Amino acid sequence: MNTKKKLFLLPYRFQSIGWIVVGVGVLAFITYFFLKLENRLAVTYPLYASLAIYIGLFLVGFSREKREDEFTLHLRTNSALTAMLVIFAIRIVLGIVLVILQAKGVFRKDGIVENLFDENTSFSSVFILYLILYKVRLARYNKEIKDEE
Amino acid sequence: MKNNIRVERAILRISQQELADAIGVSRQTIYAIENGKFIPSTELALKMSAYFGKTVNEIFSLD
Repeated sequence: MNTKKKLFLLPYRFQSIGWIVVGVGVLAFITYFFLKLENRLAVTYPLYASLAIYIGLFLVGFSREKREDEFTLHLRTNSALTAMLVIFAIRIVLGIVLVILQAKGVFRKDGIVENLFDENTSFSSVFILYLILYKVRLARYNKEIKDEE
Repeated sequence: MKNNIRVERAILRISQQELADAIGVSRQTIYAIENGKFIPSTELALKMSAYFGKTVNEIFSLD
């Protein structure tokens, strides 16, 4: 089945570019702790590093596989749905626990429950978990095929 | 859903990769279908049946 008609994805080569950009971002983050940056650069440097990681992950997550077909589409949608369910379930459970703890006076910090449901954090967590689940599942199938040989 | 793709492949003496190439999918897809981990679309089931020269019902059946 031609998934080109059904799902817009970047060409396969963007996957390798994405991993390189992620690598550069991670490296930039590591070097940040060793470099003694001052003034504006101290603030903008980690922002650029995290932006590089985000761009890289986007390229990896939304690039075609060597052979993109209905099975990879099934893995993608399944992983996205699982990631969404897991992240929201964790957030709801943690939210309830924190509300109970705050009500009992065990834990006091203003805005912590609100931060837990912050849209940006939720979206990033869902996307990163989707990417992990999808890549792990794909790698597991590749391993099973090799084992069968 | 059960299928006898493995048997049909054995009759034609073709590998998973050869079948995958013939119908335009990845080898992972054939592996997942053969092992009952993925149910193919009607389009893919029809392509497979056409390749083996059989009806869809002769290749796929309900448990």
